[in-house]
Amino acid sequence: MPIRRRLGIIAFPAAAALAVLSGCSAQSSGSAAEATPAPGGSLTYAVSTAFGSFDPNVTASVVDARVLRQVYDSLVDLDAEGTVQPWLASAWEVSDDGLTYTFTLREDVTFQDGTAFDAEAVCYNFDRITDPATKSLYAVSLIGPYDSCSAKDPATAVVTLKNAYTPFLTNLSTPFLGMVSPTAAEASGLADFGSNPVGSGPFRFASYRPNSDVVLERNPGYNWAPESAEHQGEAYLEQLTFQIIADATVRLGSLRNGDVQAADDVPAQQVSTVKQDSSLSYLEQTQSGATYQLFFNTERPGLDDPAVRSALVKAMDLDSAVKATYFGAYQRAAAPLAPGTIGYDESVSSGLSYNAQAAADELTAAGWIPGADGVREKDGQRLELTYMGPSPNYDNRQELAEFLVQNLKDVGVGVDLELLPSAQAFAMMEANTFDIATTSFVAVDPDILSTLYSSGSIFNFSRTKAFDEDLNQAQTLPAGAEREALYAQIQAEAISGAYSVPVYQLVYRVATSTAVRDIGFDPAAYPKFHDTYLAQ
Amino acid sequence: MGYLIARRILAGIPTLLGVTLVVFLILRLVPGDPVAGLLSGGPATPELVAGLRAQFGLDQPLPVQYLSFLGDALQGDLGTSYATGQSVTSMISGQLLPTVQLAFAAALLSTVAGIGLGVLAAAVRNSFTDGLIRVFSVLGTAMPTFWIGLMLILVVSFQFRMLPATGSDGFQRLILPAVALAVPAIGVMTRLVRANVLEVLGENFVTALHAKGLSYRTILLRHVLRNAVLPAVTVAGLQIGGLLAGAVVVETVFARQGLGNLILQAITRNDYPVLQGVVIVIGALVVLVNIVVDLVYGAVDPRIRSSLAGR
Repeated sequence: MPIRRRLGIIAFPAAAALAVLSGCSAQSSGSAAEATPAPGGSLTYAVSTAFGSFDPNVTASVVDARVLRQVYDSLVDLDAEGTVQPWLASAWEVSDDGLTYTFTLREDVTFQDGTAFDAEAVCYNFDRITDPATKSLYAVSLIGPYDSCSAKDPATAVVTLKNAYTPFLTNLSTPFLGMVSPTAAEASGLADFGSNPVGSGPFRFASYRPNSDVVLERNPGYNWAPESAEHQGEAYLEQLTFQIIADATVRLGSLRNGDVQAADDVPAQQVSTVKQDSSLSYLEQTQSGATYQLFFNTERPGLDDPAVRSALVKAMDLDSAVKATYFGAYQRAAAPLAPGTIGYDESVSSGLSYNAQAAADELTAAGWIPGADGVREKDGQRLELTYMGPSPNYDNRQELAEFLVQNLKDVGVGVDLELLPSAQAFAMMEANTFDIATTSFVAVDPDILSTLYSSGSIFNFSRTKAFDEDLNQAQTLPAGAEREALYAQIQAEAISGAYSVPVYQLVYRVATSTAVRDIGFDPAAYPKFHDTYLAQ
Repeated sequence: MGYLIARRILAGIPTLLGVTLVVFLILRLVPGDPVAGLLSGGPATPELVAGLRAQFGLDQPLPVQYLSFLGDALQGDLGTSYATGQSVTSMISGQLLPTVQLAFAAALLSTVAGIGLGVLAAAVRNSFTDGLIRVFSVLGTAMPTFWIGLMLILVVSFQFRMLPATGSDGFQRLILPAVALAVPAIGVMTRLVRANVLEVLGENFVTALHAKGLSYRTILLRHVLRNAVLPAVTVAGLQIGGLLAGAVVVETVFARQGLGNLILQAITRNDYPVLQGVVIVIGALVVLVNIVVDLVYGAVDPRIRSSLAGR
């Protein structure tokens, strides 16, 4: 659930025009004639951000996950409908108390170094993640209350949790819980495994030059793709190179120039140009998780009154702000959860609309009267808020902030916009001296809402304690309608109580040459190259 | 000479110690905490943050942190990256060469081109050529390197397809980044050399040489240049620091391997150990280059050699 603010990606899709293929298949524009998949060829995929580590158990970076997805397979696969499907585990059983998971494993899988994939390997992975020496930044949080794992026989792994935790199974589908080869991980040691990754995925690691490129090659004999794949057997591409080109102009230029065949993080202002370019195809995939949201700190004077928060929401013209900042390339978010996330419900924000006059009236009714300089006051207290914005200017979020700050000023709210790097932002979070903060996360399970609204989370910017009970219950409810309904209720209350307001949806945007076909995406928008081929 | 070198190296040590202390303190005295920036993890609880802080040793008192860092650094161990768990020393050593190549190629280019253009401009002063060179040198110092880099890529690589736009391998891929990085330095060097040459041209000994019947060309290249170039050597040395810093920007534009990209990643990821390591290595490079410059200075000007050695 890496913080989007720091790691380069962007916002939302399809205008109301074409049919949006949700979930696993991305929307594509450009004239792509039918072609038959044929093995062979190499693809260079330009990415915007340098990689950190290819050790899934260590890294927390969305960027790294795009490579991890090719090298590592997961125990389970998450389909476009948010249902967990078999992958390396062919079946599983969850005990009634939700504490014990019994996985039946495929027996035909080997890691790229020849090590057999079995229950011992699965248990090794979990124990490696939870070993404090691993200093896991993310994977460890995905398996939550993991307690122990035992190999009943080579094809049966039994995982025990300390308490019921439904997100466990969904999270197993992410690249961060991809299965590493125990032999290779032991041989490399922690310091080196991150640059010599070995998994069981469709591509195996060939070479890595930090800050330049990572080269993968087809994993011969691969025959255990999940059901969601278009084909079984080996990947079509012989070689897959991720090349780091930070500058967007150079990245797209290299694509048009033919130096690379695909480029990610297409800037919002370039999207329409790319769509119109007949020599390029454009792909986009909404990232599941939490949309970019604005939170009101309920522990601050003024904002402790729900009527004031609700008025501030009305004061902000979010539709226009998103449109003006992103040139129509991204869409306004409808809910705290992004489309494609389990529990997504766009109706939770119905009734939210921009109305500056109503906002002003409600502030006045709440006792905040404009003072001499136009800033509202109540009992000698001025309505002056500190808006904590991101620095560097990831995803043009600073321009977005400027727009909203102006909206707030227009109804007599004083706003101090503080653009802070994450370390300084954290200091302000700890001191609790901010009034408005923003964030977004990539995740697969709706439990991401715990990160946003549970009182134990440092990213609970609204400082609410109202949802603790519901969030805890939702963590233990079995997957299904009842759980999803509870998440919808939490989201609706978060919005009606004006704890947070959804702003825009994160979208991973890729331009490719028209010869590149069938790049797949999982719900978190990590690309999958197993089915990718080059049309002749 | 050996004595001189040893003395200069010894004098460099306190400078480097100062660099480590300043870097260490700046990173830690700025309000904020690196751990939150690293976390993208699940329900990120205060306990998780405290746990990571302890694992990274950030809960220790500052002097203890600094001394343990210094002790390790003296043994060539610059610590472990927060974000990747890799050894900082090996992360840096993999990226050092491309940056050094780039900075030195740019330094060489700026020195040669700067001296050439400066002397030419002085020789034909107040002519059209002189005017052109002066305009170029002012523009050169004023243009940001990333913009120069982008323009070079757009024109040379994308339009005319003469040289590759990105990558780190081979001489071909060094040309454009080195030019982009060198342009501002060429501007500075040109102006400096031009002014110096003009100044020396006005000295009495030049008049005497004229009177002896030497040609203008001989006077300029044999006698004036040697005197005028001395300050340029110092500036070239000082510029190495600036060029290493400028490499950060240029490497990003040209998607080159190097310390620049490493430091950029370290900043966005709050990776203190990597940041410290890179700054210290760059500091060491600058100190080293300045020692070399002092020695070159001595070689070019015997007066300095004797005064340095005699002190």
